[in-house]
Amino acid sequence: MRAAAHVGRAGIATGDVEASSVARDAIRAATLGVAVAAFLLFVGYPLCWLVLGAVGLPAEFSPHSLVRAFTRPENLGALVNTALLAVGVGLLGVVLGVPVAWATARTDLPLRNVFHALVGLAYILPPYLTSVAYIILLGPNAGYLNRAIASMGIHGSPIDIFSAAGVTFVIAMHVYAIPYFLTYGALQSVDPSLEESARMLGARRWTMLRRITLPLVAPAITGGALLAAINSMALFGPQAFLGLPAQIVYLPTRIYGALGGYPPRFADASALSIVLVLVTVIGLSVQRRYLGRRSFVTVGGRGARPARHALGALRWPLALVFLVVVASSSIAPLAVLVAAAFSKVWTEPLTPDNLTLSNFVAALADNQIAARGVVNSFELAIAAATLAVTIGLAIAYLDLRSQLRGRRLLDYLAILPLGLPGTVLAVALLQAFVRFPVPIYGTIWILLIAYVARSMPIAVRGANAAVRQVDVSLEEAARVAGASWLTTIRRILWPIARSNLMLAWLLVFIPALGELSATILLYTNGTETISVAIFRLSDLGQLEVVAALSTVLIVVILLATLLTQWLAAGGQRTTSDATSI
Amino acid sequence: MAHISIRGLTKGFDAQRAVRGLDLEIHDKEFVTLLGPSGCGKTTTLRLLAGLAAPDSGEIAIDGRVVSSRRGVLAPERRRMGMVFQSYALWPHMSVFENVAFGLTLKRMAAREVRERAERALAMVGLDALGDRTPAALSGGQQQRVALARSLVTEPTILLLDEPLSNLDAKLRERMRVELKDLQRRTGITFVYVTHDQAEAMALSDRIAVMNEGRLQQFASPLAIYERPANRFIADFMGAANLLAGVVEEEPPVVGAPGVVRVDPAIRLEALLPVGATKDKTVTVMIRPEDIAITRDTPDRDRNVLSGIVVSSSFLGNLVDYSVETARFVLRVQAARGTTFERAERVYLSVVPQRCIGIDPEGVVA
Repeated sequence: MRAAAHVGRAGIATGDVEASSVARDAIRAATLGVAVAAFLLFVGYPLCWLVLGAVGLPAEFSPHSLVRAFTRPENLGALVNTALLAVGVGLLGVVLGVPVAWATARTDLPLRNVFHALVGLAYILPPYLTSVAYIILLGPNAGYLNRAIASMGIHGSPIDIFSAAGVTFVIAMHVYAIPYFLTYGALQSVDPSLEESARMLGARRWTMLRRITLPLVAPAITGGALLAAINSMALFGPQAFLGLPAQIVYLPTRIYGALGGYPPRFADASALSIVLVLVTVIGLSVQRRYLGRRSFVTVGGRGARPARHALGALRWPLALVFLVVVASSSIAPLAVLVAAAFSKVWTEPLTPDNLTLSNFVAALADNQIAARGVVNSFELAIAAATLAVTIGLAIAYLDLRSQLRGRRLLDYLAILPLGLPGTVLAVALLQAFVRFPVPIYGTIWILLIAYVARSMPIAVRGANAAVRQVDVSLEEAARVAGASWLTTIRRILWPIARSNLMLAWLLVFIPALGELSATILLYTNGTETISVAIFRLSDLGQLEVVAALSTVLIVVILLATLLTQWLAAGGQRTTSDATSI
Repeated sequence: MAHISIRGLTKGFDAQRAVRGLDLEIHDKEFVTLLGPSGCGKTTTLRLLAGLAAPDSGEIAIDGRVVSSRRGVLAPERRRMGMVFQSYALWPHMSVFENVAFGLTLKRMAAREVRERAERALAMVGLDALGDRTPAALSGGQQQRVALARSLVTEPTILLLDEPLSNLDAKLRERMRVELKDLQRRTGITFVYVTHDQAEAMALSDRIAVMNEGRLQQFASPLAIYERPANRFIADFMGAANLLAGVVEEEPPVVGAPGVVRVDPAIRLEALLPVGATKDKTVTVMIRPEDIAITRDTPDRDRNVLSGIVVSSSFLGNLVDYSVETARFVLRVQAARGTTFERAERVYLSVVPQRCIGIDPEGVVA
């Protein structure tokens, strides 16, 4: 049965095969190659420079800066402050987040959905805006609360937000959402029969809570506290807005100081950055390992929903307490900023004579820095989101659709920026592009690169989810039906993955619009962003214009967030469609 | 014309999906099934045929033109084949009509002709009324037909089908079998069909290529494979079989006549022997359960008769399945309804020599 009759003609025919497949592969290889090259340039290349810079290169190789990073009293002080901040925020995050999580997840607390949404809002608000709001609320002398206290006859401004306690408090008001959401999720997936069997054995509700429920969700709580603590160390905004005036310095603000003088001390900044990265990466890996190993929570698919506990007479009193916590982190700062934005003088109450729109005119047109900031921020956020999702799509495609060696490594590299605080990334980029042949240093392009690099983890994860949603056989079927690779991408992959890619785009766009911690080190005259304008104008005391800018930023962020919610709901629908086929 | 020549085809990054040195000649207008357990390499072979994977070595030629070799792979879109995927792979963002018309629109065909041909393809599978629906709104059987219409609309000369019926319920599966066979006869397209279901393979195919662990075991007509399996694996895989290990005691007196196999020191069976089975060679004797006659009285023959006790019986509807324990083995026997035998009853089993098939335990017939 074995025929060798066709071998003679085979040689000629193979020539065609080779030529055509090479030409076709070229389009694919070029498309994906450009994206990967951009990614390596934006993330890998700066990281190399960060390490080189820390050991004194390129000037001279010496471990001097690394040693000094630990011995200089200023640096040591910043290190100690940062550690204290992390511990304080971690503890405070649990105290604020866990009880509310339990109440919304497992009790008949009224307004549960409102609480849940408000915690989300607290996390969406850029923390430097919360700082500005709290300067207005709790600032010495002029702050609302201090004036209220003064009017009661107590003088000397007992509450001062410009303090280590103030920084810890404001940051906790932002990051307690992390332990909240992790605990909430864990509580919702606890198998109710575990609790019910304890009740059957005679355990009272409190005993059951202490001995069954709490140990079950303990990994989520500790994991959440750790993440909150790690996060707090990197939040340049509150540390600068509230710490710098009181000369309380943390690692990011210390790095900012090292680069702010003349000449900028790159080696110092790099060494401190390495310390910050190490602490972050170690913390993240501990958190990951801890959550992974000790997850007792059983995600049962049996549809059993845990029963809600009746709070009885405590229902409304508890709701009131929680409302104070949750509102202070979300609605209150928001209201304060909006009120100040419409005031002629922010210290006066919002009476008809004090009402004005001039702050918005100043923010959007008259004030050069603010107006430029609005334009720059929008341009940057749109460009960064588009570029990041494109690169993310290429990396996800390589990961899921090719057998290329090293595709896993790319995927892993892409999550590295998670361990890079914005400040650190900026230090890396500065050194990488200060001697780059193409003029990027001191232009808006370096900001774009910073935003793209920072958003790589989200962009790659988002694109990965979008591509994963499209079964590979859908693309193969198109190829067999006669479509080229490019046509397949355009007519099959893109239409199906579009809404999930849009979601990833928004998830990059939203934080990019208000980015501060990297921007503050990378901007120059002319490339200010909204966040920089807010920082500089609040330094000048123009809190009304700052409030107006903040209001604009918040409105856009909220609209974009609503859009993501809507897309996420729609995205789920198409996913189920695709899998039901 | 669509003659497929597969020569020395090898593909394998991991052992699971390997194809090792496959040789296969598939004739024009033939319905060939690649059959085997999961992981035998049948789907990988189909993907190699489609150009969705590149071989490590060996080559595939269509009508003498090499389309896949280690040096290059003709892109799937340029092979003019049709393919029906196991998951159907219907595009969820397109209507049924758009799914079917997709391949035609790529050819820059006039809109009217696209419409006519897509509608004709939908009518062929009986779905002309459902063109506006989305695939998700169709039943499994309807989705399967859309996938079929979509793969046929471009008038391929070769159609590749990857377990197309495995997601359907048993009744529908049987009906679609008939329709597929009928379709293949009407269109004269070469079908290459992948399945792990031996009944499906036998019902549909002109020839079956049985594969195991990446290698071809036997390539022959369904009847030949069922009656004269090349090795123990095939005998076992293709339907129920009693397999008795033994040693050749007497070679056949003339070619084609039965020889004698000792399956036990005390038991000798007259059986057809595989080619080259000389005295003292080990062979396996296969007896299909339906080829064994079961009686209460001693049968009037002296060879290939065993006596035993019925240990279990189960009623399967069209026949009754017995387990009968003889002195040495438990044999499975299938008999028509009618006489029924009770548990613990003593019975006689007999089988004609032509239905005792001696097979080479490791044999391969390609």
